[in-house]
Amino acid sequence: MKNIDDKSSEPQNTTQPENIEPEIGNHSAITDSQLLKALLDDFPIHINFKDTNSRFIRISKSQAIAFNLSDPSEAIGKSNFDFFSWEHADQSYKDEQQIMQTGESLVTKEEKETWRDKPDTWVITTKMPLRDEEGRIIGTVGISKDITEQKQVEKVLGEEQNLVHALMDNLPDAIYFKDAKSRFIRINQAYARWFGLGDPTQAIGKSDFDFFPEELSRQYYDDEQDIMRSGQPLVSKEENQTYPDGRVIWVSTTKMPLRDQEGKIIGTFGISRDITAEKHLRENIDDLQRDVGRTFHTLSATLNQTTHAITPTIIALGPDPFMGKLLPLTTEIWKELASFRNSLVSTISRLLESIETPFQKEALLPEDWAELYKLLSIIEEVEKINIEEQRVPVLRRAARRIIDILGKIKKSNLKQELVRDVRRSAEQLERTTCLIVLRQVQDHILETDYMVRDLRERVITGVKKTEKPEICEFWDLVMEVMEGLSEYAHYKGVQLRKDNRAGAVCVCVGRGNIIRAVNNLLHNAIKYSWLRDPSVTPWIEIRSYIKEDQVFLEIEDYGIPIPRDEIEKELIFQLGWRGRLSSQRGRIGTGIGLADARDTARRYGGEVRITSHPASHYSSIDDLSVPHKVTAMLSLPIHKHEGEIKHGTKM
Amino acid sequence: MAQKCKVLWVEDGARYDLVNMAAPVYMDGKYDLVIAEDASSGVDYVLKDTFDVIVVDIRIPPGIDRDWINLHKKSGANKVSARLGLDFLYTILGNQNAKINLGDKRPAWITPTKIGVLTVESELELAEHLERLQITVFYRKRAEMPEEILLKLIEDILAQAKR
Repeated sequence: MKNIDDKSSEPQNTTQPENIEPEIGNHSAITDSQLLKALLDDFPIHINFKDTNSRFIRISKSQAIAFNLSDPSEAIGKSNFDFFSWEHADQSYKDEQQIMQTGESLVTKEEKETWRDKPDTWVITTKMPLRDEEGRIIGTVGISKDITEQKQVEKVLGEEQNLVHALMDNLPDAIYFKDAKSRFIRINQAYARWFGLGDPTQAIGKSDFDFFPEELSRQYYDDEQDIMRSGQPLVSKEENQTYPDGRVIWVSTTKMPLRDQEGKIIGTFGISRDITAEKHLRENIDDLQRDVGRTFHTLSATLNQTTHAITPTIIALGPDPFMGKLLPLTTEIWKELASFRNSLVSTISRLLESIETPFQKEALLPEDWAELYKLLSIIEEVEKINIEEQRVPVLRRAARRIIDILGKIKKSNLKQELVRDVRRSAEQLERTTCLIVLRQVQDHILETDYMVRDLRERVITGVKKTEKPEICEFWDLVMEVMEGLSEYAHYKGVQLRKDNRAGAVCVCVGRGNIIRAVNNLLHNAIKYSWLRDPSVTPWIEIRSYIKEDQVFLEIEDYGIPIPRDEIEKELIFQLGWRGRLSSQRGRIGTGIGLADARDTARRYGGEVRITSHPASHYSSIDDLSVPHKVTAMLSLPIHKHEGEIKHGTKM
Repeated sequence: MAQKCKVLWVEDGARYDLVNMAAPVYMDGKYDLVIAEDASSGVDYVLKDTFDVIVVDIRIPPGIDRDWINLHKKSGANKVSARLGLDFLYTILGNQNAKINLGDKRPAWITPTKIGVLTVESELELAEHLERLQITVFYRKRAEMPEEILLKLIEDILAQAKR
């Protein structure tokens, strides 16, 4: 016989040997009280025994911990009223009295425990009558399991579900979830309405094939299968959909793979937005832009024709004292007109002085003589009109009126050579004033044409797809602009000087956009050149240079000042801004050019800035009566080719 | 010779847009027309001289005077929103709503009956101001208005002043 303690030859394993019977029914080493103690001390469940007055006889350690007691024995003789809020303790007491009266157990009741001194908890409780050996009810026994955490999780889940419901039920966009075979798992209210269903659940188990035409459904199915295969979403696809009720709408759809908790793709989900109205609006805008573009084009053509039509009229008016010169300044016009005016005054005076006899006076009615005297006075005093530009129409009207009056003269009454002299002077004056007006009109038409073309470019740009940036040699763009405006500069008598210090640098830009921006800046410079001093030929210097990976273009003109506050407050970039000196800078201007130039430069990472300083160092920056050096500066990032660095003059 | 009627026209478009409008007035021979192209010079003229008629445009620039420039800036810094012509009228009439006051310097000869408005805005837009200023002669600029409109306006103002 082996020594029971000799284990050396026993196999070292943990399985129960086959020849040892389990000690079932042999309780001799463990008492009931030990078993009860084990239950009460070690199980993480609240257990309590109460008497007929619901006072604790015995509780488990877990219950004692919940009661904040250091030992379960401290609860003996107490009741729920010592630990819970009155409301909970009272309910609990009533439940226990009921159990003891009826003998019926209360099984798995979910209860909220409200405490006096700590946050609420949740338990599942079972309470039963406690009987003695004779079967008499002597109290209750209760078991509670804390489910507070579970309830909290349920609450959070409930709140999240509410949010999902809110989203699904209220969003106007269609939301749907599909399984791996593209059958609907769930759809929202909006999608149910699109399908004409009374309830979203009616779609469950169905697919697009149940609602859409075969061709469309096949496309949607294929898209979803692709998404599930690749895991890649389909974002913002615009689709045309025909619904069961015949409605046709445009939607923008995004579909994503639906994954389970392990990340495995189990279906798809998506959202579709009705963009029918937006699409129609876009189409209308596109049509409008095209129409506006065409209209501007026609307008520009008409303006051009008008300008050319004026030219023969100007020529027909005879010798043009301003031929070959830039549009005359007011002072120059006035000098020219002054000589004709003086001539007319002189000839009228001689005529009026020659009227001595009543026979001569009868050459005209008294009122006509009176008017002739009045007209003479007007012409003599025309320099009192403080606005020089206003003298031209006054002289024109006066000259025309004199010619009309001369037409009434009885020829035999007066010396014809005197009358002829007056007529000739009046006609010369009238002709010259008409010439001036026509030249001014021609100039304004050209300016208007430029604006129209500029506006057309801006409108048309909106119709085209955004110009794709390409690599361009910067100075080529500048040269193209200079060539385009050389005729205008010549017409204005402005000298263009160029200086490409940047060399052959490249930029990555929309070519047309930058040409337009530079065109705006150079056109402004030409338009606002200083034309007031005939002894000075206005000039514009166009120079480029490199600084810190940017290429700079400066267009500096000797021209009309821009007030400092208009630059500092960036008023000059406001569309529609005409400026304080607008009357000197010309009537026509809308601020479109500068605003557009800056927007364009910024689009490509560049900038446009304007400065205005007196040309003479002795003048104050706020002296707006002297010519300024006005500089428009455009900068753009240099495009660096791989392996090649472009060099130019760095500043 | 009868003394000519002195007319002040406060209008910034007189040099270009409306250059032909003054000619009938000069040609008429009865008026001495003076043109102020902004609020500052308009005020200068009324302080230095006496006029029988004042015609005012509503959309005028401030000119060089600091007070008018500041008012222009506060009012949006563009003549359309600023409507300095209205402020000019409040000022020269010494109305309590004037933002720039002339105080004792305000000439006593300036009365609402000598004033007319020639502007782009509609009479309805300006009704409240016109009523407050007691100005009743109002003409609206239109695209095809005749060149004689300014002359007609002056005559209407004079006729009103006589009543």
